Amino acid sequence: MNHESTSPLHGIRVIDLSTVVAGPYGAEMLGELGAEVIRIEPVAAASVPAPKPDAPISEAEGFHWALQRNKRSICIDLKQVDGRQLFLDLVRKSDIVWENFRPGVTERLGIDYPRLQPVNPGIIVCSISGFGQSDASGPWSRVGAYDITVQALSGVMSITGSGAPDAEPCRWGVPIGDIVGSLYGVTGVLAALEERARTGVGQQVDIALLDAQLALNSYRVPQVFGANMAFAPASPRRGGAGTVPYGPFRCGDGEWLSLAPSSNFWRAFCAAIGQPALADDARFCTIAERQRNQPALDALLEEVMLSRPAAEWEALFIAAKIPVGRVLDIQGAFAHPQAQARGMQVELTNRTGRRAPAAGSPLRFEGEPARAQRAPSLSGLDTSDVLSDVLNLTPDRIADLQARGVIGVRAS
Amino acid sequence: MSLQDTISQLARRPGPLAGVLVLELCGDEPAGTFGTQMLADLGATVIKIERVPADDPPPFTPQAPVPEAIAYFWGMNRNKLSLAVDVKSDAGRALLHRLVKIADVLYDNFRPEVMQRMGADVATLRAVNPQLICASVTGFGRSGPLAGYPAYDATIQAMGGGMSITGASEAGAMPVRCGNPIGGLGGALYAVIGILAALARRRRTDEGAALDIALFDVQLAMNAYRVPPALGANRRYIAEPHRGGHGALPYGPFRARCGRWFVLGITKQFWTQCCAVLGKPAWEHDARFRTEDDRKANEPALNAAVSDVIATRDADDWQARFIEAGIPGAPVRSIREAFAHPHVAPRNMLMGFEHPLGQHLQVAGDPIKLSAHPHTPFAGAPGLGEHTHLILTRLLQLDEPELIAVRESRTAWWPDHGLVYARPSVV
Repeated sequence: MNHESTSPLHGIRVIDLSTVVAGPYGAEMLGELGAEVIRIEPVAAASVPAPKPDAPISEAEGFHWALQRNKRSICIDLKQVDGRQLFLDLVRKSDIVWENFRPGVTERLGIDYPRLQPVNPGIIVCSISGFGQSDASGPWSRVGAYDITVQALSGVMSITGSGAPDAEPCRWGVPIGDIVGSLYGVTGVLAALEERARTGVGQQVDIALLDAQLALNSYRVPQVFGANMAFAPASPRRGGAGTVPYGPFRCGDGEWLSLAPSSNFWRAFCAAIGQPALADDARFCTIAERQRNQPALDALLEEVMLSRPAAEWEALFIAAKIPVGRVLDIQGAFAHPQAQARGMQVELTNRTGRRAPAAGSPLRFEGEPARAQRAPSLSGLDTSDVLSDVLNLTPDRIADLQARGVIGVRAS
Repeated sequence: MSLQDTISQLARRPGPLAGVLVLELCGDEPAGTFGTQMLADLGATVIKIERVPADDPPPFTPQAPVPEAIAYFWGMNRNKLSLAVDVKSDAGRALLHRLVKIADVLYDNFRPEVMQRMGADVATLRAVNPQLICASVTGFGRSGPLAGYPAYDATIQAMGGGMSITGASEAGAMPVRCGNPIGGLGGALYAVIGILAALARRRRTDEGAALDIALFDVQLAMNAYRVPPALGANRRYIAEPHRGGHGALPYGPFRARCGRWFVLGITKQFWTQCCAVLGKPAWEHDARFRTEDDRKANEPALNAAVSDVIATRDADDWQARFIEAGIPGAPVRSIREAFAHPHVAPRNMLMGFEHPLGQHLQVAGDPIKLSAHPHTPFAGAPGLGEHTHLILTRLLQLDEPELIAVRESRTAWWPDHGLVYARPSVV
C-alpha cells in the first residue's frame, strides 16, 4: 500500500469554515490524519500580502502555522448568492462541514444543517460554540465564549492556583477551553463517520466548549455530587488520588522539579534522595501518614531538593525509574531528548520558501512511517485548483466569479 | 443471531459506535479509563477487564454520602461492562485471547513489560487477531530514551511546558498545575481519536493498527500556536495572568465586591461595549486605552482602573450585565456551582442513574451531542465482575461445565449475589 492510502482518513473531504482556535485545531487534526481539508476564507484574505520568506515568525503567524496546516485555502463570499451556491456544490461532494460560528449565523447565511442535509444526506456537520446550538436565541448563546470564560465557568479555575489563601485563581496557560472542544468535535465526527458507514446517513455534531470543560471534571463530579467533597482552592502539592509528596519543589539552581512518588515508589524515592530511613519513619511510612504529616514532609523535602541542581536530580531519578518531571518552558520541552527522539518538532516550508517549526502529531501508528505534515497554504492560493478539481469549473467561469468578487484568487 | 448483533445488544447505551467491541486493560488513571468511557458513551460495547479478587468481597450497601473511592470510579466507568478474569493464568489468558479474536479494539495504559506478562503485547494480540486496533497510552510512548519510564499527571504537566505559562507570574513563585489532570485526560482524548481514525481506515483496507500514544507528546502538541514563535523566533512565553493568547485585554480575574473573582476576556471588537457595561463610556476615548496597542502600553493603569470598577459590584451582578450585553465575562465557579449553569440541565450535562447506588450520585454528561441520537440515560458503573457470567455465556458461549471450571479455579470471578464495588485496584 502506498503511503497516502494508509492515511486513516484518506478519501474524506472536509470543508472548514472555522476561525480562531477552537475550530481550526480540530480541522487541522483531520487533515493530519489524511482528510482533504478545504478551508474557506473571506475574499479579501486572498489579497493580503504574504510575509517575506526570511522575516521572523510573528505571534499572529504562530496561529497560522500551528492551526492551518494540512489544509487547502479557498476564498468565497458566502453572503453572495453565487458564493452560497458554490458552497452548497462543495457540500454535495464532501463528507464533513466544520464550523464554529455563533449559533444562528449559519442559519442567517442559509447554510445551517437543515439546509445542508437535503443537499447531501450523508453530510456530517460539526458545530462548535461556547454554550451549544440547543438554545440559539437564549441569552447565553449570544455571549462570546473565550477560553478563559469557559475555564472560569466550568470550575477548573477554582481548582488551579498556588493554594495560598486569597490568591488569584489561575487559568491553565494552554487554552484547554478551546482545544478540548475541538478534540471532542473530532471524536464526534469520526463516530458519525462510523455510523454513516452502516446507515448511509449523516448527522450534526453539536459541541459546546462549556460542556467539554464540565466533562473534564470527570471523577470530581461524583465526588462532589455523591461524596460531598469540595475542591477549592487548589492543593498544589497533593495528587488527585491523594499522593504526597507531589508537585513542584525548587532545586539548588532555582529550577523546579515536579515529584510524584506514589506509594509503590516511596521506598525507592527515599533511597534516591539519600534518606533511606525516611521510608520507615513513623510519620511518613504510609500514604495516610504522609498526608497527615504533609507540612513536615514538604518542609524536609524542600531542603533536600535544594541540595542539587534540577538536572542532576532528574538524571538520578530517571536512573532509579522514579517518576519526576522538570518544569520546562516550551523551548525546553521541545529540546528534551525524548521530544526529539519522538520527532515532536517538525519543520515546515511553504510555497514561498518560508520556513517554520511546529509541533508534530501525537497520533502515532507503530510500525508505520510518520505521516508528513504540510505547511499552511496562503489564503486563496487553492481557490482555482479546488473549483476546477472538485466542481469542474472552467477557467472562464472562475475568472467571471473572481471579477464579480464572489471568490478571491491569490496571484501565484 | 450474528455475533455483531450480540455485541450490539451487550452495549449499555445506544450510539454511533454500536457493534464496536472494546476491551479495556487499564489501571484507574484518566489516561486509560476516561478514554474507554468516551467510547462507551458513544455506544461501543466496552468490557473492562479486571483482576479476580483474592477473597470474595462483601456486597456493597448503598449509602450516602458515597465513599470517595467509589465516587472516583463512577466518574470514569459508566456505561461499561465488567469482566473479572485472571489474565496472568494460562486459562485466563486463553479467555482473553478468545475475546481478542472477536474484538475491534484493545485499549491499555500499561508499560510494555506488563502487557507482555499478561500475554497482551502487540505482537501476540495481532497474531490472534490481525485486524485488531491496539491502543496503548503511556507516559512517554514506546520509543525514545524515556520509553517505559513511569509518569504521573504532575510530571507530565511540568515537562510539557504548560506549567511554565500558568500562574500569577511572581518571581520565584511555585509553578501552578492545572487542577484537572490534563496530562492524563489529554492522552485519553487523543487515543480515542486515533482509535476512531484507525476504524475508518480498517473499513477501507482491512488492516489493524497499533497506536502508540505518549502523554508527553500530547502536552507538547497542545502548545499549538505558541510553538512556531517559540522555536522559530525564540519568543519566550511566561505566565501572563492578565493577557490573553491573542493579546486580549483587560483579561483575567478581577475581584468583585462580594469577594469572588470575575474573569474578563475582552478582545478589541468588544472594547466599546465593555466600557459601557463597566459604566465607563469615556474610556473608549481615553488616550491610554483607545486601541489595543494603547491598552497594552498602559496595561498596569488599565488593570488598576478595571480592578477598581469590578470591586464596586458583586460577581453575579456583573455576570447579568455582561450576558445582557452579549460580551464575554464570567465568575470563577466551583465545580458544584458550575453545574448550576442554565445550559447544564437542557444539555443533560449532569446525570444521575437508575441504579441502587446511582441514585446517590451524579456525573458529568457526554459533551458530544448528536442529532441522530436523542438523549438516553447512562448505565451505572459496573460492579466488579458484574458481567462476567453474561460475557462468558453470550459472547464466548461457555457451557455449564466450562463455567464451573473457570469459576472454581478462580480463572474468572463473579459475585454470588449483590453488587461489589470493593476493587483490588481502585486508587
